[in-house]
Amino acid sequence: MSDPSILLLASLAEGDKHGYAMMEDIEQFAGVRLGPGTLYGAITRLEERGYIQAIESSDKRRQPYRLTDSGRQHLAAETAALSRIVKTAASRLEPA
Amino acid sequence: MNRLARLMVRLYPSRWRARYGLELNALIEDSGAKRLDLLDLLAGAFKMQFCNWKFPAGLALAGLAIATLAVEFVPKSYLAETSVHLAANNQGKAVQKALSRSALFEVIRAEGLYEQERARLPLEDIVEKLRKSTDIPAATPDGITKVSFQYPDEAVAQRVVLRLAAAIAEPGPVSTSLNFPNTRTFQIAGAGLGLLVGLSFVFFRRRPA
Repeated sequence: MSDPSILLLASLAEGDKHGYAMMEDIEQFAGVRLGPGTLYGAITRLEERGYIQAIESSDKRRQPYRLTDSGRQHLAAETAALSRIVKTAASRLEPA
Repeated sequence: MNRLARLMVRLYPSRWRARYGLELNALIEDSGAKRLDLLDLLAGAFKMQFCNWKFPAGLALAGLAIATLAVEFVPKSYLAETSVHLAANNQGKAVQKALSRSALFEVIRAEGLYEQERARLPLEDIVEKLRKSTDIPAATPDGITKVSFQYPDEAVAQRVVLRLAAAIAEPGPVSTSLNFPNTRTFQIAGAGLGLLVGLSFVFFRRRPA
C-alpha cells in the first residue's frame, strides 16, 4: 500500500504533524520515503478535499496539519476496504 | 542539491507557491534533497501546472466545438468562377457591356437576385451590389480572364456567373467553392478565444493576494 494520500492520513491519525514529521513518520511505519513533491501534492489534494487542515502556527515554514472529521471517516472507509482486500487475498493464498 | 531543489520549487504555479512554497522549501532544508527528489519535485510542478492548464484547455476545446457548430448557422456565401477568352480587339468593351446597368438589371430580374433588398432599396443600389459581388480582373496577355460572383445560393451563383461570362464570350466550366465562412478560420478563432479567456482567468486567479 503506497498511496501517498492514505499514508499521509494514516500519519496524521496519530497526531498533528508538519511536512517533515509526516515524511519521517511514513518512512518509519510504511518503509516508504515520499519525495517532497509527492508529499506536498498529497497535502494539497487532501486540504482541498477537506480531509486535513492547517493549524494556526507562528512558524509558517513548518506548518502543522490536522486530520479533520471527514478525513478520519475517509481513512476509516479506505482502511476497511483495504482490510477486506487483504483478508480475501490472504484466504485465497492459503493452501486448499 | 538543496539549491537545485529550491529552483525546482520555482516551477510550481505562483499561487500554489504563495500557499505552500515556504513549507516545501523548509521540508527540503530539513530532509536534505536527494537526486530523486529533484525528479519528484519536477513531476509535482508539472502536475500542479497541468491543473492550471486544464481550465484554459477545456475552454479552448469548448470554443472549438462552438465554432464548429456556429459554422452551420452562419449565412454562407459561395464563390462561382469561370474563365473566358476575350477577343484581343474587344476586351474592354465586352466587360463594360457585361457590367452595364441594363445587363446587370436583366440578370437580377431573370435570376430573382436580392429579393429582400429589392423590396427596400432603389434599383441602383441593387445593381451596385451585384457589381460589387462580381469580379472580372484584367485579362492575361493571351486574353484569358476569370469571371467570379459571390452569392448565398450555390446554384444561383453558378447560373449568374455563367450569364455574366456568356455576355462577354463563350464561358468555360464553372467551379464553386464556399467563400464564407471558412470552417478552419472559425475553429482557430473559437479555440484561440477560448484559450485566451481561460489563460486570462488563470493568470488573474494565480496572482497571489
